[in-house]
Amino acid sequence: MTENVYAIQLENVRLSYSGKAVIDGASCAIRKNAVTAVVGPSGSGKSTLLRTLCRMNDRIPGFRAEGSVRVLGRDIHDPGINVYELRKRVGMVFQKPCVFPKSIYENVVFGLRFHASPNGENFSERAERALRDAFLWDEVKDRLDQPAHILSQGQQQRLAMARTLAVDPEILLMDEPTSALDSKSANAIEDLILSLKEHHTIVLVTHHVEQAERVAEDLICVDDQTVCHKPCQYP
Amino acid sequence: MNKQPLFPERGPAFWLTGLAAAISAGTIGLLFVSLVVESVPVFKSEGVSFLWGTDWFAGEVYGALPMIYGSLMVTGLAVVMVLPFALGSAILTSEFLSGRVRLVVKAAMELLAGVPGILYGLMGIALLAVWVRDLFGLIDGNTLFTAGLLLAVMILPTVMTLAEDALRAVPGETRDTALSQGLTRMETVMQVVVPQALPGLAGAVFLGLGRAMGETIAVMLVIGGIDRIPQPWFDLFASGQNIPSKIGREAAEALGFDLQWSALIALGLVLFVMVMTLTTAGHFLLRKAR
Ligand SMILES: Nc1ncnc2c1ncn2[C@@H]1O[C@H](COP(=O)(O)OP(=O)(O)OP(=O)(O)O)[C@@H](O)[C@H]1O
Ligand SMILES: [Mg+2]
Repeated sequence: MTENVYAIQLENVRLSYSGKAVIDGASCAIRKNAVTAVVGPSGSGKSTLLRTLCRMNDRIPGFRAEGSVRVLGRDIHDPGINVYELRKRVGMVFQKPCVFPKSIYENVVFGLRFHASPNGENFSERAERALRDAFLWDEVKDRLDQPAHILSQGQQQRLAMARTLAVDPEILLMDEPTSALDSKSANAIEDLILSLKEHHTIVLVTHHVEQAERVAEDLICVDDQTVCHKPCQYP
Repeated sequence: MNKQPLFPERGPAFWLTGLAAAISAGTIGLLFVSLVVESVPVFKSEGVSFLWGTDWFAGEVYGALPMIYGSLMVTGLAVVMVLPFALGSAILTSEFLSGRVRLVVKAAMELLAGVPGILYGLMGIALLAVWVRDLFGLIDGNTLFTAGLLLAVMILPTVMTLAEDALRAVPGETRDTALSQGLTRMETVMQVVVPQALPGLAGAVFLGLGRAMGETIAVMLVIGGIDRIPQPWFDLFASGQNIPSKIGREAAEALGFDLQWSALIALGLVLFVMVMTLTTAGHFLLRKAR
């Protein structure tokens, strides 16, 4: 029942680096097809929490996650879980726009190339759809074969979003996606987030309370090793 | 707008660095000029056939091709043999080992890189040459192959640490991004990290090549010391000669015999140009990778 309402459910979760807890005893739930903002002071563990949700911390030596982390109905620490499948369904966008030294088009289809499905869907169609979804299509449609690094920072961040959207994730995790951008590019990203929530569950880490107010329905506070829901004052 | 002066502060550090740079640049320039000047006689007497001639008999003819051939062959062989090991261990160390193990491996490699060439040479003549002889059923274990193998062992630590540095220079965000797209760690390393580190990896190999090409004493002990191109030319299990080894063997006796001395200097010039090209290319690629 709750699985239909919540995309992510944490129960008594403890996250630690080399035995030192960053988050301890955290329980919370994140609604489907809504934008949830994660706020909290620097170093409180927002990034750690977010990265845990697609098991990006696996390769960090000394990191340990305990408790139950259910994403899309399954505990992601189950031995039976396919972490590469999980990361396809739970996409992540990072703080610093990271484009590969390839063409714009190759950047968008980067993930697709590794998950080429047998149904033979056309890459260029999916690339166009992803770029349109990321509000980038009109700006790059005439120069898809040019190197991606010629784009502005804001465009690069939207390209990173398009690349993530291209593999068709259900959940989008964003770790301060606008903090490296000017306010105009940041606004574009915020509009993008609002348009994406119709089909995606979005978890957004941000330092700007105003940003959280503008785009998020739910608010999660990370502080002092705990995670708590804040009733959202701005419906 | 305030203009930055070219040299912001001319303290003692500036002058010391400037002096050191001037001395090294001056030394290299002087070295090059004197190599050119002193090799003029042999080029006057032999013409360009000095470079293409296959016979070298002191006092009669001076043909450098066997030595040039030996240098290229031995270095090429070393690089072919070192590449899979150096790149493989660099990838393993940089991408898959934990921090502490990585530091230990790096320290060991840097220690190995500092072992003097003569010690490698002694090991080469005492063990490697014997193994090569027995394994391939040769009469003499001192061959081009032996020299190449020994050089591969010698440059492995250098190439490996430099290649590892090049891989580490690829930012962590790049790996995170690739992993978050659902790639496996192996796919991330092979399809994203390695391509991005390619200039640096090439730089590492070039610097290793430069070192291999100039290495003298170890090669001298195991290459056989015969100035000829084997028949057929790709028979690496024959004795040969490379440039440093030739110079090392004959310099003392040639001092004073004008033409032989000039011929050795000319060999040195050829070596200088080849090593400088490799090293410069290597540094350029490494810098580009940063
Ligand atoms: N790889 C790591 N190894 C050890 N400790 C780490 C590691 N990454 C983060 N930490 C520690 O975990 C704590 C939480 O870090 P985290 O990056 O999750 O904070 P954050 O809330 O995202 O901060 P910010 O707002 O500055 O991004 C910090 O005290 C940090 O020092
Ligand atoms: Mg953070």
